[in-house]
Amino acid sequence: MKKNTIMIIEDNESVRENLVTLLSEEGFETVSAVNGEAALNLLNLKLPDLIICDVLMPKINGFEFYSLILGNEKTASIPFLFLTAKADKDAIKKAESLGSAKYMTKPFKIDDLLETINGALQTDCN
Amino acid sequence: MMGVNSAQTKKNKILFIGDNSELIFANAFPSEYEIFTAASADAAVELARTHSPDIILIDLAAAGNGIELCRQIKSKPQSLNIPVILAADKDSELNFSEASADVVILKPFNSAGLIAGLIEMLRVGNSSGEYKSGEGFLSETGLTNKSGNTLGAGSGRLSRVLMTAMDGFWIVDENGFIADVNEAACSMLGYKRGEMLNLKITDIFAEKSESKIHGKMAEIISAGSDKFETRHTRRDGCKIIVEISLTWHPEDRLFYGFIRDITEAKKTQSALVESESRFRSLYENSSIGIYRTTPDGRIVMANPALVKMLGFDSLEELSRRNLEEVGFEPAYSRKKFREKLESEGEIKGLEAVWHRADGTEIYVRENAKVFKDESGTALYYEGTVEDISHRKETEQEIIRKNQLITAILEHAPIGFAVNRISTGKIEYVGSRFEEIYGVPRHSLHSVESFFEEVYTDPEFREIMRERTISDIMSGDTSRMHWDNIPITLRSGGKKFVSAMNIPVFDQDLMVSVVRDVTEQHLNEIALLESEKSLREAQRIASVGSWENDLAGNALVWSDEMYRIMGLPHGVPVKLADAEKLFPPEELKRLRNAISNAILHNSVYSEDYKIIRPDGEIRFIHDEGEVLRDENGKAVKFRGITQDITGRKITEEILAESELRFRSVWESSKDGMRLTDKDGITTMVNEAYCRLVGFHKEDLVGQPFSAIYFPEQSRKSIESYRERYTNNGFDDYYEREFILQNGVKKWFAVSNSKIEFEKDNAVILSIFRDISDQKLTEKVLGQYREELEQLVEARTLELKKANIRLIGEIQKKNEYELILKHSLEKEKEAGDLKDKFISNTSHEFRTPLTAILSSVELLRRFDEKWPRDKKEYFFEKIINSIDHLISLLDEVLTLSRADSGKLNFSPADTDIEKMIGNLLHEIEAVKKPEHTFEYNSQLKRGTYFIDEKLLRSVLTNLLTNAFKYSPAGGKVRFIVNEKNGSLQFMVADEGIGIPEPDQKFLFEPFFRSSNTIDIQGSGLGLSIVYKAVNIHNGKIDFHSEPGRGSVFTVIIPEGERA
Repeated sequence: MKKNTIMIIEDNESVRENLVTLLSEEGFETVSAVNGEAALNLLNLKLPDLIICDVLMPKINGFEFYSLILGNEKTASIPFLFLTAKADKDAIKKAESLGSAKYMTKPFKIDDLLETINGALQTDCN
Repeated sequence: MMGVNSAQTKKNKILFIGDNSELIFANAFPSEYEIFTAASADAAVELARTHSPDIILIDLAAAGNGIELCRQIKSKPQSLNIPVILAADKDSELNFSEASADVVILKPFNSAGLIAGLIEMLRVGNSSGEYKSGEGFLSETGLTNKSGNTLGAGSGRLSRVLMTAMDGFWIVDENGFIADVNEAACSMLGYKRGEMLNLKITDIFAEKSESKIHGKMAEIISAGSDKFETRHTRRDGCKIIVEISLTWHPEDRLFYGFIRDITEAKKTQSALVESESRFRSLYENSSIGIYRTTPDGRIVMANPALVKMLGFDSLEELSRRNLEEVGFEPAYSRKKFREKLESEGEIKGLEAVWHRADGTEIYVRENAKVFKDESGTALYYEGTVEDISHRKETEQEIIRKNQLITAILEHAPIGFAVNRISTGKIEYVGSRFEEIYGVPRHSLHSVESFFEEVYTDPEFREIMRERTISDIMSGDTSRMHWDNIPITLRSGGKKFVSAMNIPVFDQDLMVSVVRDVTEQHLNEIALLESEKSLREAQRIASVGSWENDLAGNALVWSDEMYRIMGLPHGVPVKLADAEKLFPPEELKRLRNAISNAILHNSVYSEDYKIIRPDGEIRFIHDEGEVLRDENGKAVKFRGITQDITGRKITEEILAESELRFRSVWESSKDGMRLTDKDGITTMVNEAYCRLVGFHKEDLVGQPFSAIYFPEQSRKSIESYRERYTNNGFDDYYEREFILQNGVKKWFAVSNSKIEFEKDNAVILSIFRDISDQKLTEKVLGQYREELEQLVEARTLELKKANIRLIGEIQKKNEYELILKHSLEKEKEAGDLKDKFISNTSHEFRTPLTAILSSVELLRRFDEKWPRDKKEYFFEKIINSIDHLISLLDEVLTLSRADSGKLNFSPADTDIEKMIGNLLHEIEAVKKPEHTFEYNSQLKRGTYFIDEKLLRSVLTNLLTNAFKYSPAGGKVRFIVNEKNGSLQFMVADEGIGIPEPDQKFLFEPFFRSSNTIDIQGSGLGLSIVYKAVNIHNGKIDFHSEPGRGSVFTVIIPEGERA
């Protein structure tokens, strides 16, 4: 069975590394980017099955990045998961308003994360 | 003569006096003679005395004066009686009679004659008795004996005999026996002398009858002498003609006579006669005119050719023409002709125009000669005249043709050269020839120079040289023509030429013709390539071709056509079969378009949708043309079909995607703008227009900066270009903009550079209006300021009251405390705190996320992971916790400072000791690339300051200096004291702080745009700032991006209580 590919966009090296380690161990292909710009370049090479993206990032922030993803027909339908340290209501509202994206607040529990990911992938297949 | 008696036993002796050549000649004498030689008269006289020669031969030119020598010899008694022969040059002015020599002979002489003469003399001398009447003999043969004795020593006539020794001389007796004969006669007649002396005339002239010869002899006897010619056949068979002269001497009854070979003379004579008659005929019949005129121009004689040439009927008619008066020719004056003729004697090859009788003109070529009398007076002119009109015309025709040919050759697209085959010398080379070969004008002189100049590559040159030679030598004309010879020009360019060599061996000429075929050759190559690739291209491009025979509606399809239409390959198709593939609407269009093309000759280029037999929908593009017969009737319709399904689908998808993009773009609440490399706005959305207060039409196509107030506009466009080229985009900032209408707005701007393809990037700028937010901040700030002013004002009042009411100090203090407390409470209130908390929360959550996820990973994969991997994550947890703790410290410090809880407790502090400890801690952030310079010029041991605050300030500044110099460089730390204040300077050579960021530098959590890659919380400098303020100090900095930053801190000593 083909492995699902998950793109991880996270500027904090430590968190990014943990995500990559976890998802690889859980049987996903991973591609990771340190910021939105690098992620856009990666998207030209390969389309992932799901994108996990930090919100507060230098250069293009997570919301801007998601706008660009939605703007491109190739990528618009990729399930998108915000990881945000912004636990405030505004950020959550914003994430919800932008489309079908899911969000999780940092710090997160691994089980919750995996459940959300699998759920999103499941929905996508259906 | 002496020695007569001993003559038979003794050899005859000859004494020569002469130079070497004569001595050599002396060796030619038969061996029966004894030869002596002498070089001078004295030697000769001595030799004459001692050896008694029989004869002396003197070369007149030798040994000084031959005549004087001769005289000396004759004057000596020893040699007086020896006969002397003097050999003289023919042209020497010698008076023979005065010479005392016995005989004088003239040089050159033939040896045979000389020898014969000498022998004769000796013989006569030696046998003086044999011819008793020797005197008479000599006399009659033309020899005169000077002294009169029988020795025949006199010179005169004898000398003549010897002189003419080329002629034969003979003596014949009355019976016809040869009495004597000289060598010349013998050799002439073909006998030896000994033989001759035993023969009769009749034996010699055997072809003549004896009676005839005897008759002739009798004739001569009666007439005394005769001279006649007769033919003679020599013994060797050679026929000659001889002239014989004979004189009868009745005294001794002998014939004396000469025989001369006149064969050559006769031949010459008859040739002369022949030539004369030939000349006559030439004169009469020649086509060349011959004339003779008097010097004054009267025509004395003219041959028929000249008469005719000049158009006259007879010589008489022509003679009436006076050349002096009418002249021969207009262009060459008679005077000039005469002068030249008389001064030079002749004129050769004069070309001129002459008038004919009827006034027409002819071109002639004239040779003339003047004949003069002895006094040098010109008697007449003779000349020949040749009509060269035809040649002249031909010549001019040739010149014209040559000019034409040259012009053609110079303008023709072919180059032309001619060379000698034998020498390789180039005789002619056209400028086009040189031009085509790309060599300098006049650089080709020989075949060798051609190879040198044209083929610059030595190896290729040798190949071409060998090939050229072998091809020409083969004589095979097909090998004289070469196509597409590659020529490398001096400029480095390449050419192809076709060359042809035409050898004309009998004229030793080689004609070379060359043509520049570069373009043609390249076209050919391209054509071949394109033909080859056409089939492939059709396949790749999914292009099929078809032809419709309009009469039978039969279709001819290419392979690809079957594939496109989805029909089985190769099955014959009718128009109806094809039409089945078109849905009704499409079929209607198809029929319309085809009938339009046929009826109205309109362009046929259409796109259709077809449904293949298997149900698959394809899109095709059709292009065709109608072929017509000579009457204009359409006979065929043919064209190509391309499968454009892929393109169609792409187009549809693109359109869809564009639509989606548009909706995102336009519905966005943020202003969005695209700009190109020059900062020209290419696209904006509605939100942007609203934000900046412009219509879309006024923005697109204009520099983006047009929205700004002029001053800012100029600056921003400059900065834009600089950032565009240096990849300075992809940033986020908040700034106050002054719009073109003067309105000030705060925008949060996020820029991203989006590269579609190399060197073609656009900048996407997203604008958000944060004016309200900023206004709130500002209002809050103002509010705080007002409060502070109020505090100050009230404090002042209180102080005044304090002075006024000394007794109420206690009370006042209470008031003051209450007031201060309440004011600070108010100060802490507000959104500022919210923002701080929000930022702090983010900064805390990140390390917490790392910790939590690490812990969970460890738990989850505890059994699976090896020890070292787990160790890595434990380490990570510890690091994150360390980070959290330091962050917490910073936040607390800051929070305390903000809330005024940061205590200021100065004490006497050993600054240098404190710095020593601090530098030790700093070592951890210092890298090998850094150099560090520390200089302290403190004057005292201790200063009254708050050590904790100062330490926090210096630690942050020094850590930053190293941290923000990732490439290394020098960090300087200078400590000083001035006017009772401590001064600290920290300078680095690091990345610096961009100008726009500088004003936010001390804001909590603010991080400069160029520090993305360097970890930090954005709190350090806020803490420094606050700490310095608490200390009543001042902090200042100067920074240039890319060059480094300098921070200066001045801390006054605290006031002792």
